[in-house]
Amino acid sequence: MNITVLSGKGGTGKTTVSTNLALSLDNVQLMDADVEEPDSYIFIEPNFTEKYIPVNRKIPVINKEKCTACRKCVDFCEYNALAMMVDEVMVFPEVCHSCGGCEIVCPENAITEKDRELGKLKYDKEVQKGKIEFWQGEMNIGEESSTPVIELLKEYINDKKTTIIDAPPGTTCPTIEATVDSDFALLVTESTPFGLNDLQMSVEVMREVNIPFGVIINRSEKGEDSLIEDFCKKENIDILMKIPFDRKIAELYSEGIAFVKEMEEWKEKFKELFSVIEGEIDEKNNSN
Amino acid sequence: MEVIMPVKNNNGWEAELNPRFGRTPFFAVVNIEKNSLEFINNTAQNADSGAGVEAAQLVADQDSDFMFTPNVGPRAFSGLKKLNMKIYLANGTIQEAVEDYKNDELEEVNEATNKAQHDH
Repeated sequence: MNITVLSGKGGTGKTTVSTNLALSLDNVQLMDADVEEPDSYIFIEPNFTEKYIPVNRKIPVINKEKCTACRKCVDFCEYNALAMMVDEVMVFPEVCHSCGGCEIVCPENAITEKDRELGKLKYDKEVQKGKIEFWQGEMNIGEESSTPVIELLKEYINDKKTTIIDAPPGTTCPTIEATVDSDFALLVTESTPFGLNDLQMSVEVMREVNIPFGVIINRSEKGEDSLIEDFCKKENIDILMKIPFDRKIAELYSEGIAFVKEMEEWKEKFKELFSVIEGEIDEKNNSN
Repeated sequence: MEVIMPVKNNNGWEAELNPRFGRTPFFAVVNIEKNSLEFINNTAQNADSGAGVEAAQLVADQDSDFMFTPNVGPRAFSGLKKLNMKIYLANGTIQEAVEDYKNDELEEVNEATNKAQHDH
């Protein structure tokens, strides 16, 4: 089973939910797919193996001897990864999407491809004596394209475990890549106009990709959640959990401590959340 | 002598230079001796990615002698430095930039002035 935790807006509590949920369950695999700035490790405290798995992608190499400066490759590239400066083709690797089209359109066979590392996967399969298998994707500095890192990370999903994916914020390609093969999505939000606006966008995406989902309100305050509650009621969306705007939770967070470690009662709440999710997935499978 | 500059609009000599090089709507092309001015649409303005590269390509194809610009990013600059074109830092209107050049008040750019902009 594969649960992705996402939010339209950044900073709403994806990592809080992912890490606390992972720490409350057994036999889980937690994948930090927020590859631009992974931070789940702070709360999980893995010992990464020294060896990492490189995330490579292909970029073009121009053979200057063969190139006749015909410009077909430059005109073909939708992403502007190639430019013709005087009579020399320049490659801009960070904007290349590795489609391989330039190699195909080159009439002189002057283009070949080479691997270029744009990110890394790190892992520790034995966190908390094997209760958690932790994976983290990260982009190399200066890179712009995070989707390939998430694609490779997903190849290491362990079907024998409950996989929790901490997705990047937003509703663009990287978030969708992290979510699209999930059995369930947890949409984390906060009761602010920004939180609502970005939740609406996430809901739209989840309906488009047809993944069952529920909402978690973080920094919840009594009587202050109506923005999100009214929206969810109108849209017939379940609010599965509320994490209170609580000083102790905030202090633990600031010290890099997942709050379930100090507030045992929350482990039970996360376990309950998990069984509700299991139920919703079963319901969907049975209705199909 | 021909000079090209990214500009915010195409309203004649009073058009202001644009600090956004890659996504500027127009480039102004001035012939200094003839005192002539024309505008080119920047096809890179709405590029999904690599607007700086595409705009640099447009500038390269125009083959001017100089460029006046308030800014140039790293990707555009790495392309433009391959050209036989001097780049000068300039601000204000087209008219003012040309006057500043004539008065020898513009500084040549030897490195990118800002970071690459990033779109999803």
